[in-house]
Amino acid sequence: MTEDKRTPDLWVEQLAAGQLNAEKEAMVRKRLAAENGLERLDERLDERLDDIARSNEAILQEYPARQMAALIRSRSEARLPKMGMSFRPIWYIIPASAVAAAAALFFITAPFHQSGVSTGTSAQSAKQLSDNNYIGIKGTPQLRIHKQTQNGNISIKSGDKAAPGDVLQLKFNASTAKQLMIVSVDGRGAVTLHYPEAENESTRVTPGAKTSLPFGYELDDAPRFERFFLIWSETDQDIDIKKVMKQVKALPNAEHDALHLNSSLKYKDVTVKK
Amino acid sequence: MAVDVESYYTQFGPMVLRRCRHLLKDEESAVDALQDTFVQLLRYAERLNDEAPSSLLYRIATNVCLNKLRSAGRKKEDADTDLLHKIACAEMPEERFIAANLMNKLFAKHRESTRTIAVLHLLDGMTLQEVAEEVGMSVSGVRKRLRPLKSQLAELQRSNLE
Repeated sequence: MTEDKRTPDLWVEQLAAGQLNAEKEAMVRKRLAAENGLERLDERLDERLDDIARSNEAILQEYPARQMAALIRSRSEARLPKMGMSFRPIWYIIPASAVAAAAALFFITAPFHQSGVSTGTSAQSAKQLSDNNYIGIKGTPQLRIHKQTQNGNISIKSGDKAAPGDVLQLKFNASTAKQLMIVSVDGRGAVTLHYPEAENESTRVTPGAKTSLPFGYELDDAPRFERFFLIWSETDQDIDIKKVMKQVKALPNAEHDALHLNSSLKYKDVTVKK
Repeated sequence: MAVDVESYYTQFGPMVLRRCRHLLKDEESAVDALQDTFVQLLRYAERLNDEAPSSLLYRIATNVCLNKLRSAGRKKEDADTDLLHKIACAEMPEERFIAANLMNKLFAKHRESTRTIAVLHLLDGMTLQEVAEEVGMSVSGVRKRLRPLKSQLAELQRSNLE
């Protein structure tokens, strides 16, 4: 599929429709030119652009805009069941009973342990205990991990085992935090951001909020461990997600080493063994 | 933001139909999906302020078509159609997990379906970086979403060969 590095259809369509910014247009033109063995694309119109122009004309003739717009509005207003089923957002297909069950599960696991369950005795070391960023006291943000099994969800403590393919559900209690992020590192050194979802998103949380991440995390075949970090601050400034991820990536011993963050950040960790 | 359906259709309708034809390989289904796509556009009109209509429509069309494939159980015609069918029918971990705030999160964050991301990467040939830019996620986020799906697809591939 991708061996010939064909320019994605979307970009060609966007080029034809004039929807690309100057930088991206130049990139796409260059790529199309290369596909055609040309120095520059405007020497000869790319076949694909030609096809699009002809196709636009043919489609608008076969399915005229006025009639199609009327059909679309009519379908939208009618809210046909067929439409509702074919493109129903995920939450609609989740039965209400399942939502109630999940909510019950969440409350059964609360209140969070106050003894710092997320600190994980197996991951502790003298170096870690002396680290100024490492927190293991009551009333601080908590990270909870559950593993889904056929018999229900099982709470995972630091040092517990899980296998590749196991799906983990992450939850946190923001407690006193105003900013929060969750990131993990595995036995191959791969770092994954779990919360927020993207590196350019805000880390702001509501103090006291209890949140389940909406997507489970399936463990892959990376060896030995997956170590989850919950990092927070009580300031109004967003956490520099990229910087923290780099620091996690740079740990010489990702399974045991302490994280040295700036003074406004604190963290807890849970290590899942494999 | 009010959507001028006729104007959007004139400008982007042919693009959407081409996409639906490419994925569904059936004219009637493609035209049906085209209409469904624009109905969805009317529902997500507020997103037009944030992103290019062509990108949004393209991804909506992909998702609509994947849902149609999932329910239709179409015949496998070639490698690409086979892959598309597998993506459409794969079990997604996110469907097994429910959170009390899921609905709000989805409305607020406009999450892209994993299947649509998979099609952009595995079928359309976009790199992870390109997909991430297209859907507004981090590369690690895209990779995380695709990881369980890739495992499933690899497993399906192995079982097909046995």
